[in-house]
Amino acid sequence: MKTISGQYVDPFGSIIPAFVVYMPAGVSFAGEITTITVPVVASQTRDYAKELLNRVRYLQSTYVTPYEPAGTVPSAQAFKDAESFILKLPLTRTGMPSINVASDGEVNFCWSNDDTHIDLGFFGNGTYSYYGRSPGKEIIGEKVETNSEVPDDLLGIAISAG
Amino acid sequence: MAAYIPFAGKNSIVEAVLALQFAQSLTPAVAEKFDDLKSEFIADFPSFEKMQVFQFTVGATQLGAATPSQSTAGFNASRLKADGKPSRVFRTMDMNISMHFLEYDHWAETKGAALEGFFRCFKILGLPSAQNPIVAVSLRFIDRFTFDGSPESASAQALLKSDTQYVAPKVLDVGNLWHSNSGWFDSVLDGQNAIHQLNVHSGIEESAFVMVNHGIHSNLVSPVVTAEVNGDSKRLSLEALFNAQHEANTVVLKNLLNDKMLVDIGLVERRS
Repeated sequence: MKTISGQYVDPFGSIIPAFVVYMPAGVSFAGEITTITVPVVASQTRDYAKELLNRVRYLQSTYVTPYEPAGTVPSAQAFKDAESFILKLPLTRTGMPSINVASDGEVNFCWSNDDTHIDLGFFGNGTYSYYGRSPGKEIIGEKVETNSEVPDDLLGIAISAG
Repeated sequence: MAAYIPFAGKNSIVEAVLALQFAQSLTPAVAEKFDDLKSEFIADFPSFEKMQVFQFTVGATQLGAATPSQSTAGFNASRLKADGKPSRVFRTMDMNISMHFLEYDHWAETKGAALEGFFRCFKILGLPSAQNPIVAVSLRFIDRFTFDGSPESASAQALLKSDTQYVAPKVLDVGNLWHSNSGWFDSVLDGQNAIHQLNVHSGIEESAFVMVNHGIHSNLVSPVVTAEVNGDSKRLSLEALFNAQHEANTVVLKNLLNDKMLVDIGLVERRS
């Protein structure tokens, strides 16, 4: 028994197995297969939001006591605010911030490259504050409500950093 | 509480593809102008590769034999992000020309960028023409939703409407591994016949996820033979069809996804 298998590529779609032909040995197959091959570009993608949520939960489970003698552990609300913020970011455009905790109880998000930098922190009061800079530009935001839309000036620099 | 989330925070769209189909493959004479295209689009798409087509013929005496064609059959132009992955791709292969958006923001911006790219390209390639008109218009959206919870507890019930008409009811209670592939014809604009392909599947990678792949392919009643007649009227007619296809995608998603997800991805407004 011989087996011939092939794939069907639908225009602009994913590649899926399309046919399998089983033939008794000694019997030949004659035919022609024509496909239109314009697959989509995104063959694989990361689950960006879930990766960041996992990072926040890892930090919350790890930093349960201050790591400096006079330090403060971030409150549960600070971690919750950070999770809400993640789901408001267009992460394919902004790229992935690094997330850490600071000794003063802040959950900190940071975007940084050669030209741009954003430092953004949650303290558990339902708001966040940020400082950002890009060539020729500086932005500062104080007490931005976590439930509000991400400010355009912040988003603009985050996108250029991402 | 465990729930599905858009894979990219605010956005669930992995890729949006706007495409036009010509009646025939591009001729070698057209392909000779690809160097001019490369110069034209160098700022928008710094990476530009010419593509060749391979045709396989399976027969009794030449099983698996491949004969590469001798001429260029298309191009693949990319705008890359800092991590080296494409954010936007402009591509021509065989008889299709397509713009792929991997960083989606708004429909108006996306559609405008695609049409602008197509028409700049047409000017250089001398297409469409009476010999090789545009015969079809396609739009595809691929959405991804990640399950934020243990993969074992993922279920379609947490993402889809219980009475959706776009997947078989059975998938709602079979856990995290299922697929539903369907297709149908309708008219999305002025009697233009369109075929919908809707492939929805659930799987597990690092997390459980659901992908919604919806393509709408409209065959044109009147093929577009020139890009220039009556100013930009051809652009407007293609734009109207893309808009209608976009609206058709919205209709499908509104019937498919539950109300919470529709709010999360901005398809319906959050209630105060």
